[in-house]
Amino acid sequence: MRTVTFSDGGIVKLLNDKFVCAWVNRRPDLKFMDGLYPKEWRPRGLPNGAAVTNITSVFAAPDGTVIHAIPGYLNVAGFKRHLEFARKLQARLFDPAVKKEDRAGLFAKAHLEASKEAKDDNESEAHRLLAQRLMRVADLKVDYFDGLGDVMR
Amino acid sequence: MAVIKITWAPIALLSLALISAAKQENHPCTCHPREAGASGSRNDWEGYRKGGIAWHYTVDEALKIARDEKKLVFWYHVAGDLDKEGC
Repeated sequence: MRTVTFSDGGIVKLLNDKFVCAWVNRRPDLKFMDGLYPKEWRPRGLPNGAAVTNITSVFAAPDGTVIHAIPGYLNVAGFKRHLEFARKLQARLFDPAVKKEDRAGLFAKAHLEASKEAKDDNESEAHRLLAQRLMRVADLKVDYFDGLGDVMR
Repeated sequence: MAVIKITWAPIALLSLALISAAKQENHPCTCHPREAGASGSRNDWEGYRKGGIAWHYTVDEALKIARDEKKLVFWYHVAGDLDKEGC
């Protein structure tokens, strides 16, 4: 991701303009324990890459609502697709015309629709599992930072 | 025999360290397929450094800034071992 997707000028601009980014290092023994997906789910192989068990891209609204999450390596086109999905869904959920109590339903519907149009089984399953509950960052165990992020500075 | 052990142990260790360093220098990243325009080398920081993404250390820190700047938050979870590989 670093040497390909995060090195792409378009992605860098999009991320810096529209997102605040964080790099979180998990200890390897804590894989699948962050609470994003059910513990028993083990994503397997994406057609465009690997590392489905090692890396996850997560998108959240500024209020801490988890909008989208997708495991595994994503090339530029794939990352852009998921990023745009997250942006559009966030805009829909936080449209002033949408009541707070309706957000979970809209969230589930959007993810289930995306699940049907997914490019592969892994992506489809990720959307389907996310549709089951609207999560908040505070619900997740993401404080696994272990200092290795120094290499990114 | 004791003399031989004392003599060879540091040489063996040094050799292993040199082999490891050489492998790190030349070993291409195998975590993703190579694509046009990217070397795929784990030692290639050039593309990443150009323009670079402003990474924060924690999601909480990113959320606080996102609230002020009315932006979304993107965070990238990496298993620690993979990060050492430079991916």
